[in-house]
Amino acid sequence: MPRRGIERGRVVLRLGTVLVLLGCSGPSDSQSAQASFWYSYGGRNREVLEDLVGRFNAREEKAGRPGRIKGTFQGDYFEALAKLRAALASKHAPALTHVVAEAVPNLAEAGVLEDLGPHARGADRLDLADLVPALSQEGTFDVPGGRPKPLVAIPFNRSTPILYFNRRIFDEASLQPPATWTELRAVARALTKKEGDRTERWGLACPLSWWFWYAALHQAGGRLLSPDGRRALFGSGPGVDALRLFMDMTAEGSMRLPPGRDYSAWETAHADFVGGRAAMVITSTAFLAYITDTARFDVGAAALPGHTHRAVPTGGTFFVLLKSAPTAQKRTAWSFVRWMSEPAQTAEWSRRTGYLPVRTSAVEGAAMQALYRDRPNFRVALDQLQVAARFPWNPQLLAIEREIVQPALERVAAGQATPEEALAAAAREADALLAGEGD
Amino acid sequence: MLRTRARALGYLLPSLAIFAVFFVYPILSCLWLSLHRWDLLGEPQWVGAHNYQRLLSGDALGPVLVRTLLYAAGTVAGSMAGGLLLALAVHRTGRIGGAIRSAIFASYVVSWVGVSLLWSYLLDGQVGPISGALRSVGLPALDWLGDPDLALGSLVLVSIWKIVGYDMVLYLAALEDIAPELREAAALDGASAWQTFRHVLWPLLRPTTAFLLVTGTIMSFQGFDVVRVMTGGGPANATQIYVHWVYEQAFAYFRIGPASAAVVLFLVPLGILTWLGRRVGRGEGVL
Amino acid sequence: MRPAVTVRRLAIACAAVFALCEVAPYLVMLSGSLKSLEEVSRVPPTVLPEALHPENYRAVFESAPMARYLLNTIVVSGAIAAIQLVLVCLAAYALVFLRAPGGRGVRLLVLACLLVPPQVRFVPVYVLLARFDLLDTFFALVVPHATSALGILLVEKAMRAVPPEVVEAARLDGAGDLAILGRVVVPMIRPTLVAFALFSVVYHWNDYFWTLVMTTDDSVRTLPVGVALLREQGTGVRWHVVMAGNVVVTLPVLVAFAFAQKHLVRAFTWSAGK
Repeated sequence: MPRRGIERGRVVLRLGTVLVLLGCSGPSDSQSAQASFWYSYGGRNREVLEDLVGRFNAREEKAGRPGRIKGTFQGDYFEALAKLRAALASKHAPALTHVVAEAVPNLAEAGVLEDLGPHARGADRLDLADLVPALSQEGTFDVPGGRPKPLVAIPFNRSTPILYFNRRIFDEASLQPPATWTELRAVARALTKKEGDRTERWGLACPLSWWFWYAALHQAGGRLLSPDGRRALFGSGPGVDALRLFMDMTAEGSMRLPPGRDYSAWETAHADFVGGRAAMVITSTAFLAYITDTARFDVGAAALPGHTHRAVPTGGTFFVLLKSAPTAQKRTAWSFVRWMSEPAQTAEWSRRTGYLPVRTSAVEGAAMQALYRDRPNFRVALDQLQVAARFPWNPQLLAIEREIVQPALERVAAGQATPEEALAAAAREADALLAGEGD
Repeated sequence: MLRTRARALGYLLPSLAIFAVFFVYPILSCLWLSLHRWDLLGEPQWVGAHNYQRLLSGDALGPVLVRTLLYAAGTVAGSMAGGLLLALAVHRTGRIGGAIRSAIFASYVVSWVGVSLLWSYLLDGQVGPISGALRSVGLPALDWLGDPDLALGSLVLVSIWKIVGYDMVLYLAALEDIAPELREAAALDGASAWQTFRHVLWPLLRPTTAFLLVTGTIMSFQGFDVVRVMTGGGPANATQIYVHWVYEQAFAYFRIGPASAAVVLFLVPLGILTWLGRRVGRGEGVL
Repeated sequence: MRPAVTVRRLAIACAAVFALCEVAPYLVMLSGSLKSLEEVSRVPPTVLPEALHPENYRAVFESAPMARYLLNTIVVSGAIAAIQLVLVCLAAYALVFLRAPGGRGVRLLVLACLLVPPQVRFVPVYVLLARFDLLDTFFALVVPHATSALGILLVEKAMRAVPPEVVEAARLDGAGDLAILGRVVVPMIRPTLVAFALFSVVYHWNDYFWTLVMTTDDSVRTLPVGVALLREQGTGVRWHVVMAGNVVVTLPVLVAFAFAQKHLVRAFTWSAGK
């Protein structure tokens, strides 16, 4: 390159960078009532969400109000959580986001969440009593000492695990969906089809996930932590029984534990069920629409089988507002949350995505009742809420789930430890973490 | 003399400034954070050497390092050997060679995320076409990504598949550069193909080999996307390699302190290895 | 020399088979991108789509501002590569021909920079950029990568192979640094520069992580993030749309590569005064 060329090139580059830089600074006007909403949805759920955001903004504009919501994708749940924290650390957090239930105590105790009580009682009133009890913050968590925590989370997309079954296969075998563990094992065994040493069809596909183990833990009468939140109780007894349920069925070949972690394992389980390679699958009600649409057979849904108890955990996310956002933005964010929780919107969200509606009045309303009549499968998760198991309100909950229990479950699945060994070790680690020694 | 130095500094300055802000500052930050306990919320708490003690006395670090080295060794060796063989095969074969070269290089330019998604599907032990193909010829279908013994190897194979094109193109260019007279002379001297390769071609390919060794090693130490999309570090930590492990510690479990300490600790073996790689590449030998 | 010819033929055949293995997954991707949802989830999978569904591509473009992402990606990778080449050449030149002080220190620094990946560096950088309101700007995506430790290492090595007499001669002729760099040195190290530029463009074109964490909205986001948007966790559904998205992300690079191939090969093999 001739010298002049280089010089010119550099000048152009510098100029270009400056121009581009100038042209692209984001709005940082703290007076503006435009609130950022960070979400972690891709795919179809994202489209539904963006549609609703658009409608909210149009509504605000028509009413001459200044508030607008700007929703942006921030990666999956965990990337988004990481970015949220980085944003909090740099004082650049959005006004609104949604987080998994297990993350709420941690964020709340760190003092970064906005107290929603005043908002709910204020001008933009939200009838908290109308929230479906098992789905609200109060109904989802067990607070040690019983003293209620300030309201910081409003349910957004909530779900429970349910048992899906292939009606055609069940009818052919003249079987009913199982209601107890014993029945589950018997049915799974009966419906497993082997050809030589290759399994053509499993009775059950179920990802080895904290969520399903948590369900089984409570079905066996167990608890994760002691009421005061100081000790782990899952290391023996019901915790082991819960894990043994899955491992024994896997050992005898009637259940498939899909490989992979997190959602890739879930996807494999869904694919197995939909492809007829598994007669039953345990997974979230959120996938009901997808599974029903994709399967070429009649899909049945039933409550999870019980053992000494019936129990299901809830899942999905809550809306949370960040305390550090400017007041005007928080007001807009709250308006949006409130609007999304209105019976009309929550019913629509539920219909289009498969998550549960969060308002009792929505459940009893015409739209949902019609849906439940036409598609009774959608009722199953709702009815199960009566036996919903709570999470302990503990800042270490997420860490216990992902760092201690989930790897322990995987070790057992990989054959590196027995359920007793793995869970006992996990409980010890959890004790250390709860005592503040782990870090 | 002074003017020369001033000019030298001037030319180095932009790069040094950028390194200072975007690399050195984070590294120093890392060092500082490694002596604290922090979950990104609230204030960091001083814990001194605690994080280092726990990591060194625990059994998490060693396996991660070993796995990282295995992954790097496998990927680099495989892609370089494969690239060289392909280059030798395709060298001077006209249009067919050109078509083959393009096909193989294409994978290199595509994103890791895209490749990982694709291969997750292909390698699925039950549903993937590869297992299906194996089963149809009567071979057992392996659980490529679900078997702890196979998972890391599967990731290595996918990585080699992706980057072998780059190595091939570079070796091809180097081969084109070697005057054909040299090979003809060797042939006339009665040298066999292997001898020609060993004594004529290989030494002339050394600069390319060094280049690929260094870039390959460094890039494979930074391997992240392939793990994240295909196995998430599992099954049972079988694919938990350096960057992914640190990322999880920091952002899934919010243990910034131990994650930072791990980065500092990893710098030592990785740094030594990279330096060794450069020496080998330069032909100076290791001793 | 019949054995040699057979070996040659065998070698090419093997290479061709391997090439097929490389290409096959993309054909799967292409095929999948044109299938319906039901067909793409089917097992065993069909090879060709039973019916073509090009509306999948529409879904891709409707779901996210892909055109903007494409533009951003071109701007970002282009800017990074261009600036990197300039800064790297200047720095290497200073180290090699001006005997800059602290050479070893710089080299150590460079090595350290190589081993600290973006996942590790991002939090302090994020906090810093946030403080100056530089998130969601091209600055945040380009400037942290405006120079390259790897580039300096490689270009410095290449420059050391340049005979110092040539540089001396040019200097005696009265040429300044930039003239020497531009007219004498750069042409001699062109293969290295091309190899590095290629590496850099590909790397930054496909960068997902840094773009994801340094941006909170769509204004400067790039294609890889756009594709991630198509994934729906858990349902594994819309493989067909995800595949279409992958094709959209991949195609520009492949096309550019197809066109650039001739130039690449020429650049690699052009040797002047070696």
